[in-house]
Parts: sequence; C-alpha cells; structure tokens
Amino acid sequence: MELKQLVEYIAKALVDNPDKVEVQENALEHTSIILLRVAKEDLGKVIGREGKTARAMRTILAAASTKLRKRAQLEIAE
Amino acid sequence: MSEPEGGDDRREAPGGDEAETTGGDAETASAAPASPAGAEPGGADLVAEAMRVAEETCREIMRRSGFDVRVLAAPGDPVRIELQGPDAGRIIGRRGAALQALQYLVARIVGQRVSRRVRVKVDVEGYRVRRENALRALAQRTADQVVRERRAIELEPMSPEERRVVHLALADDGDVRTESVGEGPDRRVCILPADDDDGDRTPGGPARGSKADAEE
Repeated sequence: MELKQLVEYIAKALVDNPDKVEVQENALEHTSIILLRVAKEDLGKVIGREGKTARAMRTILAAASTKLRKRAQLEIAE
Repeated sequence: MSEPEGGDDRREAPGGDEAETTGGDAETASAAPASPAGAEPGGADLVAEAMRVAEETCREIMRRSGFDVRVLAAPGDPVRIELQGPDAGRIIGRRGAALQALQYLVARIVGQRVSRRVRVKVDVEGYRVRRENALRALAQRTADQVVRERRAIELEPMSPEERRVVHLALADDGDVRTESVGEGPDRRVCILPADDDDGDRTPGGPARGSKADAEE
C-alpha cells in the first residue's frame, strides 16, 4: 500500500474537481515526499482555514506511516 | 417535515466545536444559515446518505493506511462512527490527535459530498468516553490541589474539545475558576482559586475570561 493512494483518496473526496487531483510520490531513502496538486480553485479545500485541513492530512499520514514503517511528508503545490 | 431527528439537533449541548465537526469551514460556514437538519425536506435521507459517505470514507482511509480495523456506523445527528480492531490504537495518536484529524477530514468530506449540516463523530473503542472521564477526574484532582495550595495550576495543552470538558467539569465549582491560556496547539487550561482575579499573573499572557472555550 502506497501512502500516495491515501492522499489521493482524501484529496479527491475534498475537492470540487477530483479529476484535477494529481499526486506524485518521490521515495527517498528514509522518507518519501508526497506532492499534491489540485485545481487552483480547490486549493482552499485541501488547505483549509489556517491550514487545518492540510494539517489533518499530515496527521493521518503520520499515523499511517507508523504501520508502514515509512515516513512521508506532504507538500501541496500552490 | 418527515425528519425524525428534527428539533433534536442540539441535544448534545457541549457540541459545536471539533468534537462533532460539521463539514463547513470558516470561509463557507458563516455564509450558511445554521438551520437544523430537520428543517430541510428529505432530512432523513440526508442523514442516511451522510452516514453512508462517512462510513465508506473511514473504511477507505483505514484500508489505504494499511490498518486492520472494523468500521461501524450509526445514523443520527451526529452520525456516529466507531472503529474497532487490532490497529485501533494507531488511529488515536498522541493525545487523540490522529482521531481528531480523522474526524475532521471525514466531516469535511461529508460536508463536501452530502451536507455540511450533518455532524460526524468518530470514536475508537470508546476512547473519547474514557478520555473524558479521565479529564474530569484530572480536573477535580487539580482543583482540589489549587484550593489546598492556593495557587493557579496549568494543565497540559489540550484540544478545544478536551479543554471544554475541563471547563465544564469545574463550571459549578465555587472554589476555583478556569481559563485558557496560550495559543494554537499550546493552548491549555489554567485552574485558579476563585478569588484570584489577577489573570495577568498566569504565564502565557493576559486572561481571556473564564469559560472562554465555550465560544471557541
């Protein structure tokens, strides 16, 4: 199971334009960088008020990586 | 008019913050009139659909996290989701942070796909109930200590929901009063002797008034 798919599922459910959601995962040695791209008008939906939605996604990602034993960092392309 | 939940919308008085997160955020929530779900035609269908989406969303998030948990759902407002199984503890996270994050995301997704008027509450094997009982006991113990030692005592940083439990636990205690100090994730409850009216002495800045979290 890739953490990328977790982010992709959540992001697609949050936005108005799920077909514009793109997620790339760059696996480094100990951690992977997950880059999320959404339609410009959906940015607010994945970031949220004061970054709360983005923070919640990062928290879920961190919880998921405890079992997968793999650290992941979520970045949202602006 | 067929909505059985109608008028029952506020039956859990301490709600209204992240404890039962509604789907809307500040940008949109303020624009929406806060009418109870029951005022809408088709309210029961709305609740059923919200439950279906919340359940499916939790199940998919758990599956993609590689977590072995069962997802149980009960209709109503709030829609209640209960997670059980070997990996349930992983969803709680540090001081319940992961559980809070999951609940928030699921509520946002239900808000996006169904209606932001239906609230969602996610619990893990009764974690919230146990945590609330522990918080009430902590509040009472600390209040006793505040009275005995005649000094203000600060608790650990807590979520708005948890601070609310502490404020409410001591709301009727005439010997102490409570206020929240600090900002953001560092925000915590301070318990003071009731006759100590100098809030500025507490670390973390001036007092913002007791029971402040009721409005947060």
